[in-house]
Amino acid sequence: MATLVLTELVAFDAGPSVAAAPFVAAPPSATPYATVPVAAGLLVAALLAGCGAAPARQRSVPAAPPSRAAAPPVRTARSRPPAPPEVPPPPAALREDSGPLTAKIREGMPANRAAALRMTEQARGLIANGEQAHAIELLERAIAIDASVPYAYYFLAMAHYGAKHPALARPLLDRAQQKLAAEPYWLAEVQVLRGQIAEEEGRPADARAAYERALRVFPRNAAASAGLARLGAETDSAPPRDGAGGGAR
Amino acid sequence: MWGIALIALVAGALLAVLVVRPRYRELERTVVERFNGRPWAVPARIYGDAFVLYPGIELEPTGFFTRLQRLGYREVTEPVRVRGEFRRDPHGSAVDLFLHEFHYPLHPEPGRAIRLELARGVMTQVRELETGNELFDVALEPEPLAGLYDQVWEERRVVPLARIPPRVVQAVLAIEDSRFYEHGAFDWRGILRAVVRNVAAGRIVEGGSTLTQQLMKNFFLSESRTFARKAKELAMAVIAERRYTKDQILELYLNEIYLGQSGVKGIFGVSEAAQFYFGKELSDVTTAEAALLAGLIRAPNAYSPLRSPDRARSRRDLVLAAMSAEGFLTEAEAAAARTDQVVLRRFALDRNAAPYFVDFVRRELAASYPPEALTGDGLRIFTSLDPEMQIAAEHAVGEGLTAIERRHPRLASTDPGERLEAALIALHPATGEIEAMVGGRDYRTTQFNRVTDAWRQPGSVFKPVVYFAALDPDGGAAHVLPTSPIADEPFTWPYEGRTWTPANYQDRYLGVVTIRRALEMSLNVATARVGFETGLPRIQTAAERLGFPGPLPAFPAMVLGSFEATPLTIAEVYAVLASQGQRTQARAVKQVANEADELVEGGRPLAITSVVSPQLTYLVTHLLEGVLERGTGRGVRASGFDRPAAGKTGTTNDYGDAWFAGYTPDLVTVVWVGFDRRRPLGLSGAQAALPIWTAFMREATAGRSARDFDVPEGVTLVTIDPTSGLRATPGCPETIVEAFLDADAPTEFCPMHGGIARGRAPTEVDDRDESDRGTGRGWWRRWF
Repeated sequence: MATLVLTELVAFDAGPSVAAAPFVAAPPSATPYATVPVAAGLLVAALLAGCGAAPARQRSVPAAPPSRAAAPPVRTARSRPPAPPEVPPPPAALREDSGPLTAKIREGMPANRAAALRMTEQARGLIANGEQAHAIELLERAIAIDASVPYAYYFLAMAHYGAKHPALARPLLDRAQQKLAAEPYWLAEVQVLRGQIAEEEGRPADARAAYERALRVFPRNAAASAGLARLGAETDSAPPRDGAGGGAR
Repeated sequence: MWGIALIALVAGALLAVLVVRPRYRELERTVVERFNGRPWAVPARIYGDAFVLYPGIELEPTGFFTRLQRLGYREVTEPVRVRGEFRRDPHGSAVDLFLHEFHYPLHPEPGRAIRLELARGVMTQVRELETGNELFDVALEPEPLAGLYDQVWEERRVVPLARIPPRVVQAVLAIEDSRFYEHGAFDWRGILRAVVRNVAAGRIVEGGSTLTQQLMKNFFLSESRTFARKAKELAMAVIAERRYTKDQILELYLNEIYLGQSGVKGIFGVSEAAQFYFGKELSDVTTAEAALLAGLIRAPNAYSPLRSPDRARSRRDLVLAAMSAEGFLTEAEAAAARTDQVVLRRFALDRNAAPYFVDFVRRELAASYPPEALTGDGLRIFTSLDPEMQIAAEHAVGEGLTAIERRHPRLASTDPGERLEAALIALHPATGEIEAMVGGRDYRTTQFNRVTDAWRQPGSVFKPVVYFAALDPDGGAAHVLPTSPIADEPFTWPYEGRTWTPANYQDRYLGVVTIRRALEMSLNVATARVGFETGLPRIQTAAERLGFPGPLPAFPAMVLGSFEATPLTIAEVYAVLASQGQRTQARAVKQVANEADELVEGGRPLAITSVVSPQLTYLVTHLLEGVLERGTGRGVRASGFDRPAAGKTGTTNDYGDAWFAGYTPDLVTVVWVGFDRRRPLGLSGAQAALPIWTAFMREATAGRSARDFDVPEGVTLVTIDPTSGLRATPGCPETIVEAFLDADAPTEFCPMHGGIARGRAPTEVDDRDESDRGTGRGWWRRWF
């Protein structure tokens, strides 16, 4: 508004040949010498109006809730091509987190949480050795000791998948996904396992979608890439459908 | 004469062919069936959950030492040498423990010697004594709770002969049948010797039966002392000796013999007896202990070391002498064994542990197993019950009811059908595992399990469901906030041509209150208004999603819990709140193993379903935390339970039911108090059920880390002024931290206190760049 008034002042001083501003009309009988006090008054008015129209201040950020685990630090990629609109921007920390879960045990961590992490890591080894039933027993115990450890749900799903119980694995993956929302590496692992289950159940479209989701949250997930490649190869090698470019019967 | 002899011969032959031979064949079939089939009906054994040892737990409050006692561990002052011993360091810095051997279905525990390092009673590390390696996967073996038996409970651990220590075999042979490996089915020399000794003594002092005869008598025959019975015994012994080896017969014998009684349980076989009397594995018994066990065979109760230690010692010495005479021991070894102190295990009173829970387990397994399989196939059933928590639950219920009757004598009665009753169930919200179950005051009076079978009105413990539905913005529906105002003033709810007029306790009304206040104070009318505004269909849907078997009745009084549900259902619903939206069916049986330690059908793995949003459950939990801080449940805090917890009192209109349902992140417990015949109790949930809940929870959570409820993504915690419901300023005299869905979090500040312009953030007035202080430039900067 101050700009508009000043513009009009300039126009007024320059005489009638200058086009008047849309909503402030020049009075026909005004003499040149009356413009100075009028201009000063208008200037003061403009300044006073500008004070009341100070730009909105940023609201103070709410205090962080007391019990939430610290979110990983935000890092932006230095150079990345614009993401396609349907893919959400890559989330924060894209660190590999494939090390032992016991590395997450810190001084002062609640005892039951540390115990659950250790049990989960031990179960991870049992799964690798094909001892699914023992891993299931240990992971259920880990969850009973501290249900806030998200990895226990993921590995329990993996153990049930290995034991040919996909129906038990799926809701566990839902739970793991909920709890691992702030950990892209593990979120991707959850999606990969979903994809593997879907592949085994003969649902390639669901599997592909899961692998793609994995790569969206963690682009370096090798298993997801391999899964997509596998599904792509299977699609390429599939025989042509009847009427789809083949010879007439 | 020759004719008579011929006739006698022919008659004898005819008798043999027509009578004796068929009878012999019949006996042979009986013996073979028993030997080749399952010799015994081995009852299923039900175990509680193993107690996991991990750094950070406090030993005393978690009942570690009482668990050891129940498991038959013996405290020693010397370094632990054999399984079943433990030693406390005099300075309290460690406990050494030689674990029992235990055959878990998936991973046998060989029985390791471990050290628990302590600091002020808190376990800091577990190490293997032999190697010094730190261990992270150690547990006390599960406690046996009960056996499922048909008519007679024969407690028995079957062990092959190869695993029976030679000393035990020698002791038994020395005293019972030293020529076992030399004679046939019966021992003429032994019979003659017994006759001579008995005649000399003028009474029966020695029997002449072989081990084989004894086995036949125990397997098939009665105790009657008749000629016919004796003849049958001899015939069967002959058959057994002809068809089976001495080792096979001896193995059966050593697993068959009756060696004592423990309440209703009979103790059979040497392995079970070693565990029963000494708390030891059979492989760990000493020579003296082996002799004592062998001495029991003749008269287990008369020679029981529990009843008659002196007679047991004398009998033991007799066995040692026999062993020495047979050359199994040298004189020096026998003399040394005679001076051995036989240490018996410390016995906890043989209680029928968790009888309502055992019944519940039996019902769960009935779907997979016929009764004869449960009572005879030797299954091992591993359950979720925590025996220490169970004891705490039984104690809390018993003491709680007694206290109520003491304070209100009109509620006391000696008529079993008129006594005040209670039910308590505790389960883990994330796993559904039932950790304690008390179905009534006294199982011996009535086995009716009120946890699972008493359908009672939940009353106000249903109210959180109403608020859950009201808080839900699902599908863009109008929803309330914890700070939304609601009128706690009389109103009438019209429906289907009728009306319903709810009332508050003592007809007291608080006017306009917040949603939070309405739930904290359990205001009936405010809740009814919330229900009215939300609509019954949304509440019914929420109730079903949370776990109430639906559909609930569609009348207004439903919002105040005027329908029926069991304490188990209430617990499962509150578990959904505690676990932030995950439903897990309550389960008791975790694993079932057969005699070969293979997992078989019947165990239930953890199976979860996400049924509602974590954010909504957190909002409700946050409200219910206020019930304990400021509301009808504040007696919990006043009684000293200070862990993060949420809960709700419940009282039905006619005071027929008193409830308290509450939870921490790791344990949900529901308590109900009332009369079976629905007589008015006259007490509220806060008066009758809350004290029992609190007493139990204090014990159940003692010694374990406290954990706060996780705040899920999508929830914002804001410090607000409870009067305005807006963000608090420094001038607000009272503030609380309120939870909101992110989109609902208030952005405006409270204008009511401290001269702050309405809608203006106090920081907008006071916020100045520190570098401008004292320069006069601040206002200029702000304006330009």
